[in-house]
Amino acid sequence: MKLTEDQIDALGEIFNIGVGKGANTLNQMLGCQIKIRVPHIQSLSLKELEEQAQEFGPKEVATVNLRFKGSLTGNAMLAFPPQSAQNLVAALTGEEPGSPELDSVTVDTLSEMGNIIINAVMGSITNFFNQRLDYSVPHYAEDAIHNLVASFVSDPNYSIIMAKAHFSIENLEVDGEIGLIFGMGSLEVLLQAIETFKNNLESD
Amino acid sequence: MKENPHNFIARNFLFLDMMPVGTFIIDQNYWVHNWNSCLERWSGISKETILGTSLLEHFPRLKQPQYSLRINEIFKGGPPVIFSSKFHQYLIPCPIGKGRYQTQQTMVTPVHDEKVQNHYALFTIQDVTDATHQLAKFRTIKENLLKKEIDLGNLLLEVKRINIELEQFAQVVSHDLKAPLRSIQNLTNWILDNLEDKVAEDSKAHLHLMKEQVIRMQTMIDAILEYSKDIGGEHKMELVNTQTLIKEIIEEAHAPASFRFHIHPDLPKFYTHRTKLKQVFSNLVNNAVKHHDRQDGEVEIGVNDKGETFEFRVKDDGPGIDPTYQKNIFIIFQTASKKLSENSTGIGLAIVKKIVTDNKGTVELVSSLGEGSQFTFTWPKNLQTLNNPNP
Repeated sequence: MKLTEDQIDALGEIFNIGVGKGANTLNQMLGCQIKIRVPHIQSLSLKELEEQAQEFGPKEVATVNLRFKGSLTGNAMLAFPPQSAQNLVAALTGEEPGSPELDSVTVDTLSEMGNIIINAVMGSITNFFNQRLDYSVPHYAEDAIHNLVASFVSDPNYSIIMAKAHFSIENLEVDGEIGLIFGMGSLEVLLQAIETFKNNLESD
Repeated sequence: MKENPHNFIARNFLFLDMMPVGTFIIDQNYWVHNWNSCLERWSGISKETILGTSLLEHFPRLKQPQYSLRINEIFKGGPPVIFSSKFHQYLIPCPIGKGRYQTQQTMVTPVHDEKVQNHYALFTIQDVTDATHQLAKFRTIKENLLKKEIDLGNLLLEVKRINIELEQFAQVVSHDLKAPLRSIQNLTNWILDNLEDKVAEDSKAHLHLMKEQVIRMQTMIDAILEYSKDIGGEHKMELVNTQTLIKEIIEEAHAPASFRFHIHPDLPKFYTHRTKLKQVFSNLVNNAVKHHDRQDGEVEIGVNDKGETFEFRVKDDGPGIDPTYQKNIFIIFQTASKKLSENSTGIGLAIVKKIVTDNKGTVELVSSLGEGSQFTFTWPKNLQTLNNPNP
């Protein structure tokens, strides 16, 4: 579905609140200065995502995924090109970046970092609801981004929100993607909840 | 009677006791309601000790916000939480001897009762100590190998640099040594011309001897230069027909017409360094001709296929080499007789040995006085593989 500018702004704010909270947790945990911001978000269909992904070639990404269901159904994903993921993990752990393939420690580390950020973004989203979501166990996967997204999408009408996530850690600047793949009608429910929240604020 | 709400855990999570991973369940006040047998064994803390007590009493470290804030989100309905081994070596200290502890990966998942009234956090702990150690070991091996590769690369560069320096040094030294020798030679000639009739025969003989020694020294300096030139030179690979090569060498050897050469028909055609192979054959064939004691000598050039190498031989029916001199025959300036002569500089076989061993080959001599000599040397069929085993 096409989003209005207002809706994009609102979603952008939710993402930024979420990643901000995630960055705080990481800073607290690691005692370093990490800044994460979401400068750009867009709404896409699977076909549009495939077209976009093909422009960059069939490049693999390293992702941490979290499925959710309840009043909202879908999958949240944090994705990095493998080398960026290596550099990011190296910056977080203070180790030298190794080979382009992610080893098990990197996978482990990236899983926790992704977990913190995705949880924070989901926390920011669920603040608009008084209902709980059920979550599956987070998992790590590597593939081309559109293949990964396609594996979660059972209907072409799924809405996909892709948000660029920019990480700054000391001298390192790394870009990743936060993807939210919403099942049928879920994005509409979220946008409605945001609208209600905004109206309540305005009427107060 | 109202059922203890926590009986839900006892009823539904009995199976955890059979799991090969450490598990425990806490409520939002951090009271422990399940502590499985695996974790009992790992941590050394029995179920009796910990069940019904606060986890924080046993592990106060978990009060730190980096743990508690994330765990508390679980009780508010948040998603599962991962504690990776890299950022937290362990959540529950489990000793493994010698003052060391397990390295753990922990996942915390939300659990609630049927009515979604009571919320719990289920901790699943995996022991990744072995995997982490193996990875650390693998990394050390990889780093050492990389370091060795870099050291080897640097060493090769250093060897190349030294070889170039050595070649330049040999050229400069030869040039500088030759200049005063030329002066001595000229001066000797002048003295001989000027004092032709005025000196005693003895002194004249000494002057002639001196002149010969100067010539001898010039030959030796030339030999050093030739030997040093072979050190660092780059040689290109080309298809070499050894039959043709040998014929060329025989032509250049200027052997007496009565000399006979037998060239083995199996002499191969293969890709190799032509110049180097020619140099080896040249020295051996020339020696066979030069040191022969008869005008009707016979020389045989043959080959044996030894799989990855060819074993070439140059055999003559000359006077043979005294066993006393055989041991040192491949050493520079050592010859098959006591004295170095103008005919024999003692450099040829040293060059042969050097070229052959540089190519990981061997060179051998079989000879006895009066029965001729046979030199055999091995030469790799594929020099490229030898010089670059992992292209």
